Amino acid sequence: MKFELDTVLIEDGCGDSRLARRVQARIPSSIVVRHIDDARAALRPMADSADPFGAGKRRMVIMRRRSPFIMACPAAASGFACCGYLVMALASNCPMDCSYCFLQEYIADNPSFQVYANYADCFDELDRLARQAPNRGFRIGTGEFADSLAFDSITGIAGDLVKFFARQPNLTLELKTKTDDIDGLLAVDPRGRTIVSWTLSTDTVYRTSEHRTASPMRRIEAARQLLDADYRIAFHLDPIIAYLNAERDYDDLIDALFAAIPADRIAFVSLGGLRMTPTLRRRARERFPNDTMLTGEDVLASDGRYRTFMPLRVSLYRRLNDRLARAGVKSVYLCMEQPSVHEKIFGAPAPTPGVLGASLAGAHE
Amino acid sequence: MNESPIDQPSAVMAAIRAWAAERRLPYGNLERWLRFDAAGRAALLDLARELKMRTGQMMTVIDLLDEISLRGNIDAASILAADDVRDALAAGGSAPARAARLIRMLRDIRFPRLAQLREDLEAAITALALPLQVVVRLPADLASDELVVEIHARNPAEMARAATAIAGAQDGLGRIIGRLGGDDEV
Repeated sequence: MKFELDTVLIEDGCGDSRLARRVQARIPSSIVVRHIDDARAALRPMADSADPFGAGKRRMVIMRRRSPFIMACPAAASGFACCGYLVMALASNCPMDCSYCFLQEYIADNPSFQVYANYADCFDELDRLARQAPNRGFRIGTGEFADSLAFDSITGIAGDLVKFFARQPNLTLELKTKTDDIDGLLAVDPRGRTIVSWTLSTDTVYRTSEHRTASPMRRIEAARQLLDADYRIAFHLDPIIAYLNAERDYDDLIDALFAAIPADRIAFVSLGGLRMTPTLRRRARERFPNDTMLTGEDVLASDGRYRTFMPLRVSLYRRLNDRLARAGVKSVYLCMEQPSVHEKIFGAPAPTPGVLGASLAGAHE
Repeated sequence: MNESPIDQPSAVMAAIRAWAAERRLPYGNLERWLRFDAAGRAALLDLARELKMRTGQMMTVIDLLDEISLRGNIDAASILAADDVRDALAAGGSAPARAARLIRMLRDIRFPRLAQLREDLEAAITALALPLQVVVRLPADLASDELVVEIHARNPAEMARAATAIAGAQDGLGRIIGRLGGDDEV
């Protein structure tokens, strides 16, 4: 286990679960394990902590999920060009600590690291989804509210998912991560149904803002290894941060990526600019007052988020998309951007979420 | 353990606290003001008095100084002593006008590429030499790609003159819209 925990709390009724047994067998004996009646109270911010959100990352709560596991991506409802991604919520929060992370606002009221003991129930939901639209391809990921692999060495969930999706003709799993913890994946055969994707940032952003993550080069190296193990791989250049001379650094990043991985073996690349609601920006600045990445030339955009002012943001997208397309990456899309921006970059209206989602699910099958 | 600068008593600190209490400056802003370098916090107090700054203006100035300081690794005193800032303050006018000019100058320093591009685009609009009936507005903070072109006409002749002028300026307006949409590297 690469990340530190102070406590593991296990909700009553979950102690005999496969997840709880695995975690207890794999964590160091120094970590306190306690059993609690109802986990919901344990999710609340620790009032005596100077940094309740950060403290929540060190307290794992193994509990039963009481609501559905599968949902539309939160970005899908906001009038953006959308990739049709479906979110599978198997955990909440992340042991890494990126200064710009939206979870600082999104789960501020329940920051403890939740993992759901009844995660296998999601397989029933997936079965129903697959049966309802057998001719449509779906891409479903676990990396929205948590990193897909960060604690996999103790939870072992990713391997179970890969095995399940390997049997599904129209479902594709996306595991999204900033780690290089891939040992569990190397032990299973994905049969082409799993994409592992990495958020990639420049070295400057990584060093300034992505605390406790693997370096960009280690992420690329992990991708190379999984490509050799028959996984499909993808990358998210998101958030793109427009600091001074960022263009040069993104060029270097893309050079390093293509030096390790042929462009035509990459299933897709997404591009997304740094975006922060005023509340998120305030919280991030409070938690990371010396982070220069949080003080770029960001202005309040029409969607109520701080974003790099439009001409600079779009020129960066265009530059990156041109480089990716020239190198031979076949599928590039924008995340949480207006349809008009999509049209500027790709010269065509944004496809519907269903069409793009199915295309990304099938990319490089 | 060293005492934090904001806990140290001094006449300037006391005066800053008094100003903040009188103007109901939020605690977070006061805290950051007190964390500026000694010369910077004193210079800002002098400006607050001289320009009769309102609470909202002071909050904006503190935010801007704080972020310029972080971006440029420069202290507040040096920012306020820069030639551009001193010139903006020395240019005369009422205290509120000078306060507004100070904020505009600090914003230009805080957002250098945005300020430069806006200046270029404003110059391009001026160069179109459109009649007074046609007003071209850039989006606030260049936050969107939408250029607003307004026609102000009181009679058919003015309307026709404006429409003709816009038609004649189509290429120039198109280039401006293109630049708003990131056609050029910024």
